[in-house]
Amino acid sequence: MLGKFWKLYAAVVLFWVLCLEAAWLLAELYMPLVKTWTSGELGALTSDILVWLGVLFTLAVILIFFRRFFHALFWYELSLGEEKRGKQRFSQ
Amino acid sequence: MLPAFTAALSLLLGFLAVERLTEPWARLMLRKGICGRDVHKPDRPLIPEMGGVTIVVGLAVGMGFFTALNPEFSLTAAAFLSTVVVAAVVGVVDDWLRPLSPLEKVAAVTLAALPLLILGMYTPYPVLPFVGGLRLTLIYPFIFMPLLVTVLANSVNMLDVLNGSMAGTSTISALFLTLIAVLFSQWETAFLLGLLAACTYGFYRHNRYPAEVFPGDGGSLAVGAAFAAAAIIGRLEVLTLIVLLPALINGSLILSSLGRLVERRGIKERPTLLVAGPRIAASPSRQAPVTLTRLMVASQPLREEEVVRGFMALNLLTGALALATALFMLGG
Repeated sequence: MLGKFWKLYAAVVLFWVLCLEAAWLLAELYMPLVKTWTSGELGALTSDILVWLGVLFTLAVILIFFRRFFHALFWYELSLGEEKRGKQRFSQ
Repeated sequence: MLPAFTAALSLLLGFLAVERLTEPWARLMLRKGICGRDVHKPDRPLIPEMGGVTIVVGLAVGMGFFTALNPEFSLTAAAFLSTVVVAAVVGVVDDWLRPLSPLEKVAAVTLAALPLLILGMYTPYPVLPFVGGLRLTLIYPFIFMPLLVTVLANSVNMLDVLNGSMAGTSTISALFLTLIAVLFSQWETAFLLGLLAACTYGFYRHNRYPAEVFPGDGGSLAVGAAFAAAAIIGRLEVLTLIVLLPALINGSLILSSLGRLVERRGIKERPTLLVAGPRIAASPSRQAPVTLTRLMVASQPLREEEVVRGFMALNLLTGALALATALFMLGG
């Protein structure tokens, strides 16, 4: 079963790795930066909003990329199927 | 910790209720003429619809028994069950009384978040791996919660395309989430998800290939809403999204290929075709929506059971990924 759908399964694992990597980058690089930028009375609220926007932006970029990726995978698989059927017809 | 024996007995009762009720309920639906064609069989047999209502009954039976013995659980049970029932009612209206437009359905399902909001069964700090809790005091209850309920309910509903695909994958997802909830010592959520797994498995035994009954929108919307409710109650939002990735990918593929919300009956070009074998093949039409099923059969036509096994294997993978994420979160 893994053999038939391995490309799809690999794409899902890649998506997960990318999401975790992005979360790690946000936590290790972006959030400390936000904390240093924001200080004073409105610091906590500004920090919350900036973190929230950072998470949303990262998620949006990953989702847009993967939407295109899955569509590309589908059309590639379909063309592969067409090629296979063409070869079968030719050999018959 | 919840009393383990009564919890186990409640799961068994929920499973038995679904397992025993589904067949007579399916016969009743057949007599009432609430049926749908199984388009993936050569003779396109008529199959009773709306069978998923028994999943809601099973959840109510299991939860009712457990709450009777553990009254301190009643608030959680009331919030969870009300969410499920509201989503099921929307589905039943759509299946039986009046077909809803896609926008009406999405809007109506958001109402299922109301019981959780009214009973205050949420913590407005969703936890992200590495990042930690995000403070979303106002956004969480009024935007995030309704969005999560409607996205999960509709995504699970959209995955109900083949015999056993929704019930089978939901059982696997619920089992993984039960394990994750146990890891986080979220005993109430673990019970809710365990009961959901027991009930969907009871239904899967009647819905698997060749299906005796279809869940209908009433069943699949209710199951999706149950996942959302458990995620909100147990603060497992991100992990639930990871486990349900197959349903979410399918939903986003359909939405992005059609460019708008659309009902199954409103799709003019079917994404798949039935070819000799009988096997399911991808439609070559550019107008047909891209779906997970169409992606799986794009390079070669497959038998229906093979595609459903592929769905389940994908769900096992996403369950394992969610489990790994949970371990990261616990370690961090």
